Amino acid sequence: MTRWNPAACATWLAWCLFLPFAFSPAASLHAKSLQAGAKWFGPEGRAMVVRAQVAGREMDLAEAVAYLDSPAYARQLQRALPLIAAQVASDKIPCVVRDGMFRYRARDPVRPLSPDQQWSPWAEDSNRNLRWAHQSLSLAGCYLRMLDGESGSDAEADLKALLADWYRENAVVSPPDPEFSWGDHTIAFRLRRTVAIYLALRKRGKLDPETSRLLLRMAYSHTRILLEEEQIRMRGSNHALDQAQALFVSGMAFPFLKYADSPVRQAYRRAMYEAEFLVASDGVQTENSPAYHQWVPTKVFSLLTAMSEHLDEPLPEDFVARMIGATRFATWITRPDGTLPPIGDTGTGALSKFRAPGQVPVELRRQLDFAKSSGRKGTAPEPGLRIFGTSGYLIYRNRWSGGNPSQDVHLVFKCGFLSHGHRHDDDGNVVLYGFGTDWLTDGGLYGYEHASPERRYVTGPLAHNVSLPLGARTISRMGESRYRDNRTSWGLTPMSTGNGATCNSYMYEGVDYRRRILFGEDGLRISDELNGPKAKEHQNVSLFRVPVDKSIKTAKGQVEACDDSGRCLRISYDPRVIDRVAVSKGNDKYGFSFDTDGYLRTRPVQTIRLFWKHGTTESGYLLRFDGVPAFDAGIEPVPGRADESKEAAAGVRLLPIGLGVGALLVLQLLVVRGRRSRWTVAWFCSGLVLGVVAIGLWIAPPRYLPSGSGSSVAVTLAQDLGDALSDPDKPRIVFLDGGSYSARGVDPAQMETRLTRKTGRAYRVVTLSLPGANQTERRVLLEDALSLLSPEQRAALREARVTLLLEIHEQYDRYPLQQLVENPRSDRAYGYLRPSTIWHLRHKGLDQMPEEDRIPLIRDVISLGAVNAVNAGIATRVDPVEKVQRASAFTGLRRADGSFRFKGLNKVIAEARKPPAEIDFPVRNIADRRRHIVESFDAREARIIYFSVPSTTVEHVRYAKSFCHSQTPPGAACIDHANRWLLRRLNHRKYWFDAGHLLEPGAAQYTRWLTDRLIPQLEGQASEAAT
Amino acid sequence: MIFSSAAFLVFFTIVFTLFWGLRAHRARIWLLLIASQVFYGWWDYRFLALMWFVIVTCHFAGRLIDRNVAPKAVTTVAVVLMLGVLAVFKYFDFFSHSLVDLANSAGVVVSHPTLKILLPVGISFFTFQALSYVIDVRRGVIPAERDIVNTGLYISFFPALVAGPIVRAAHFLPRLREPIVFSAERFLIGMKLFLVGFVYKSVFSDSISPFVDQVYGDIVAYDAHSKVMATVAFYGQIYFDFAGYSMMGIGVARMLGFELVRNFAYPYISTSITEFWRRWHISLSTWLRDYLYIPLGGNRGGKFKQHRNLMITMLLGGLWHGASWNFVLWGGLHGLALSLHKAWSGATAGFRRPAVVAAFWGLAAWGLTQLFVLVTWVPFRARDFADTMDVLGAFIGLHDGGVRAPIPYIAILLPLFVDTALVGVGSARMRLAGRLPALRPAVAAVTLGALAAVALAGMPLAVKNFIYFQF
Repeated sequence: MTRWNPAACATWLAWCLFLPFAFSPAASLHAKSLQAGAKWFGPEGRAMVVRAQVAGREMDLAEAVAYLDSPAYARQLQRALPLIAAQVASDKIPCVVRDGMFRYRARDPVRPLSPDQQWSPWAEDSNRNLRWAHQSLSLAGCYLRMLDGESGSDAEADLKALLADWYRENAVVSPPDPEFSWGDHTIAFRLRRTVAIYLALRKRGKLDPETSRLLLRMAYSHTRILLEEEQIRMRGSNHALDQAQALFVSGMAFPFLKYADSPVRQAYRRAMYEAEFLVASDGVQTENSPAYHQWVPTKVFSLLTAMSEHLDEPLPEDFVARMIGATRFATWITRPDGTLPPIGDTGTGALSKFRAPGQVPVELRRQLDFAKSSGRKGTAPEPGLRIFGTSGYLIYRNRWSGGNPSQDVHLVFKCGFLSHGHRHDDDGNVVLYGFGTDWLTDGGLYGYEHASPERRYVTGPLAHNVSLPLGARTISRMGESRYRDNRTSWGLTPMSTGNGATCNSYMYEGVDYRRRILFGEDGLRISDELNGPKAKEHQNVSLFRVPVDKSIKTAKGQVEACDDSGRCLRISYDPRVIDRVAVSKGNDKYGFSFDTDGYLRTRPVQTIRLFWKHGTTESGYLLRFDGVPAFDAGIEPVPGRADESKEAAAGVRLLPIGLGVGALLVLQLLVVRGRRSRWTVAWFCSGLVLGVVAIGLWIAPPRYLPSGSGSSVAVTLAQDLGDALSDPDKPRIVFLDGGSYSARGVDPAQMETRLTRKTGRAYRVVTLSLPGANQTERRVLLEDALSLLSPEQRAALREARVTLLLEIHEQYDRYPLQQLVENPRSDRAYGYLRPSTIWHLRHKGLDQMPEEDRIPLIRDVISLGAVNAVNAGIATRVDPVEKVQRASAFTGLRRADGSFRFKGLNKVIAEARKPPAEIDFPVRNIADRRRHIVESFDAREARIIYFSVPSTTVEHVRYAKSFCHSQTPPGAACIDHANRWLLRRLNHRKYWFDAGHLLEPGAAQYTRWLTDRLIPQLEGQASEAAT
Repeated sequence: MIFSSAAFLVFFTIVFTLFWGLRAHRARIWLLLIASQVFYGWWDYRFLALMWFVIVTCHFAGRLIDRNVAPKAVTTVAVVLMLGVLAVFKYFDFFSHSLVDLANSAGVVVSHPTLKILLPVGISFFTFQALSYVIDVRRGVIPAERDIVNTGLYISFFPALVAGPIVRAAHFLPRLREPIVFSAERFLIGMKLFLVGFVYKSVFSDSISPFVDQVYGDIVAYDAHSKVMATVAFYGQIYFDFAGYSMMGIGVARMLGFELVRNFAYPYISTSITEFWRRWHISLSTWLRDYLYIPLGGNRGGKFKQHRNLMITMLLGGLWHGASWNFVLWGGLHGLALSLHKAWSGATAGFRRPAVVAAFWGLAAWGLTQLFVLVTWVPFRARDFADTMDVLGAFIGLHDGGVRAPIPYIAILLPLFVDTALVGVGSARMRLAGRLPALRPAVAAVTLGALAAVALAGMPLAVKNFIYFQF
């Protein structure tokens, strides 16, 4: 008999009562918007009572408005202004199309320009994008743009009227547009624009008390809602990043407004959280659409850099690596005509908004310029494949033609997702552009009208070049158990040979989808598998979507799509697998077949449907352009490995195989006898240690170098030294040892040329400058480089005249393990932190480190030391010296860091005038570095000259000056940058990348100056030697 | 925990130290039992319950049989239970799919009653050990073990747990009652075997596997030469992988004072398929012989029954390797070859050949045998029948339309040549090692230590699973 269970009944009853609300339109509509009401906008609403505080004194709104005119606030704002201005710069938009008419963006309709707006949802136009822009106060951006124009006074009046109108209509208990009046994203944009309006009006002296009051009310209410309403914090989306940005600018612009938490601190925490989520480790924006990659990473980088500078908080650990990845992705995702492929929620348009941060190497920025300009400027990358495996993109380019990309082919293969923001069901999608036209195209954006059938079509699998089980439900949310269960295998896996990749997807319920693409001389091979418990329940079909300007011909075993010029894309298939082929267009019995021509605009495409035979779970296709080798450039054999053996091409290292064969032979022939003795184990351990040491010695330089980036610098130094020593002119060698300041600020080629020209003697400048390096790493690299010299070269080096140029930097002297602290798991840390180094470092610098750095450092040294102790005998983590590529030590910078604000060098110049300060120098470290370099060279004539590279910080010039004064040993020289002529010369932002690094023009100035000061020292040395 | 992983090296160092540090015999047995549970639970602790179900079943079945309590019925129930475990966890989906496909092909629409069951690691090995224990007790070959700790250790002994060799109770259980004394020679030989296995697995097999996976992962994309070379690579990979694991297991057991049976004896030097099966997976082939072939009738009852028994044994042996028709096909082909070879041997038994002819004859026999073994690895490795036919077609020049994969010839061929031609022939045919002087323990230990360093040096960064884990 069934027992009556009151608890179960109550649960069911609660569910039944709840369900109607849970699925009501209002519930879903308000999911991302604030339930505005009495709490915020009633008579005693929190947003209505502005609270402010200055120096512990509470102020009401009137007092706060008055405070805006105080000198104290003016100074405060002046300091914050550079950081805020960069964040609100985009809020001035040129949107007026003709007198009295405006349009927010190219894809929006033209509307009358008027501050009297209808804020409620428009019955006649449900364009969500337009409503969003409207409620975000995008129109204010138009007025801001017009403020300095002829109709500036009208614009000012309209701007104020617009603000007042919006606030009156929307800051109410029942706002007119429940979705957007207080939507999560519109709040953030409106707050940012409120600050932009405030700054613009203040700058022009057009703030009246009424407007100030309104602006403060706006800023306060928006900031407070963002801080307190957890329901609208959209974690893991670009919306949340915009919210963080808005909080930051609001907190910076109105620091006297009082909240429960500091908006700036909260903004930093939120931005750090979002930065981790929004930009994947390979640098790709995680919201599945290249369009969002245009601006989200740029905003992340600029916002975090500004916050970090203001709060003196650290940036994420792999910040620069992500910047580099983001730049690389932006370069590669851009098609030959400069546009973005219409993947995910990407509309039509060119890559225009992405800005490479200044920390990105100049070579990559030049490549980005090349992509953005369709080859008219910049440097072409190497053609071939580029795989962004974490984010699930494979991008192929057959060539990078400068100026005329009519023969270029661009292909994107996409799979997997890291967020479900703006995701389409497009795993396995292949988007192909080539010879100046689309060949396989995607559905594109269409619009954000989620309920419309067109939107559902473009986000579903039918609008993509994929294979699918017809009728299978798709799963594209991260919360679904199918995603969680298969998270590790879902996505793109590069093939070890580098000529293709595999997509594993579980987006179809009950069906596992695997697509592999392989590039080869004969074309592009696509292999599909649809397996799983429900695979055979569906009709499987492969889709290829071809634009209507191509004519399609079908024959047994192949389909051809040809353009007007007669060029054809041929898709071959196995007729034993494919049951029938159908081509649909527009909207017919197969449903939609279109792509996006503009916002909410469609354009028919031809969808080639290849129906699989019933019960078939595998199919394959070969794509090729007749007579044109489009898919093999730079790929076969493996990119970058063309000169290597077959073993290397297959990813196999011969050294371990050789060791294994040798060990096997000895082992198999070894005959052992023994007695009952436990000492045997001890003997075995001794042999093990001896073996590890012996192999460590065998694979040590000069035969092998660690598989780390620093090895390239060592090889370059060794080759340059070798060239210098074998030069019949016997050039004088200038060895430059420095960190990133030198790597960016001293051009060795320029120095060499100038020295030779001015002195009439042969000079050779070799450099060990390494960005981000510390003296410990450089010490190891120098040992590696010198070990690569032949005995004759080493003998010649002992006889050579060598000048050792040692850069002065407090960080190198005080914290020799700085690189390890900042990036403990990098390949560079592996490369230099060897057992011998650890032994050497057992006491270096640790005692001078802050406590919070020291303990993690000791932990890292121990763990890395243990790993490296084993690595000493691991042949799989080293590369033969002859395979290590050269790398230039001088890496000039061309464009300033976007977040850097040059504040002038006046303080530095003032400091330079002062007498040397008393500084507690780490004498032992300084002497140790000097002694090691001198002993390493072991040259007959080795003179030390210290030098410092200019920076914008006072502390640096103070340290350099004092160093030269007190730490220069007898016989050595010192050239600090405390030179007023030099500093005045460099006192312009065009020379500076950031606070410590020079741009190329600055490097040229400084190198010339330094060289001129070196000449007397060098020539004096020469004359001393002559006498 | 893979034998060639850093985790196992640490685990074994601890177990080894504790084992020889303990004085009491009983404590050592307990230590090994606990270590075995940790070792097995490392993959998935939930399957410990399944293993203990098998242990308890076979232990108490043995006790009941020993007490003569309905021995026939108890044996039957125990065997059915253990085969049931195998059937549910390993073969249910296979048989249900096959039956449904058969019904569908006959026009009867039936849906798949698929159970999402994870295959417990090494289930085929420990259930076979349990089966042999029950049957041996029933036959009176061994007395029933009274102590469940010993039975538990016999079934779960970690060196042989997940991929063999299949240990016999008659061989193992008596050892648990004897005092275990440290022997330098045993330690050194164990270490030597472990290192040979380590080189086989970590250096040779793992170097080849990416190439094999790549080509067999997308057969239609590659040209015939790539497919043939991938098969040759798999020929080496499966040997180095499986023999390597077995040797490591035997070596580990030897270092702890236990001797396990040899599982591989250079099978690729075999000049006949019969010899091949005497050298390949020896513990399985002898198990099948003793518990399947002979009970079926063996060589008794005439030629037809002999061939029939052989085919049944090999078909089931193929199925033992995995729930797939490919394995059945593989077993069937080997069964057929064994039958043919028996018939051929019988027909040519009295035929005498001159020495020169015998040498060439032996070479031809070796070539033919190894070609057969090579070709029959294709269904073993291919994902399905279509891929199998595609690769077999490649052997005769068909399906040559794909791209050429980068082929690591040296990595594939050099280890095979060295192990088979130099070491295998040298060791098996000429007894070269036996003529070498034995090293003193200290010298041998230092040498082995140094060789361990060499083996470690070749260790790849990523450790791959053993192929035979799936069986």
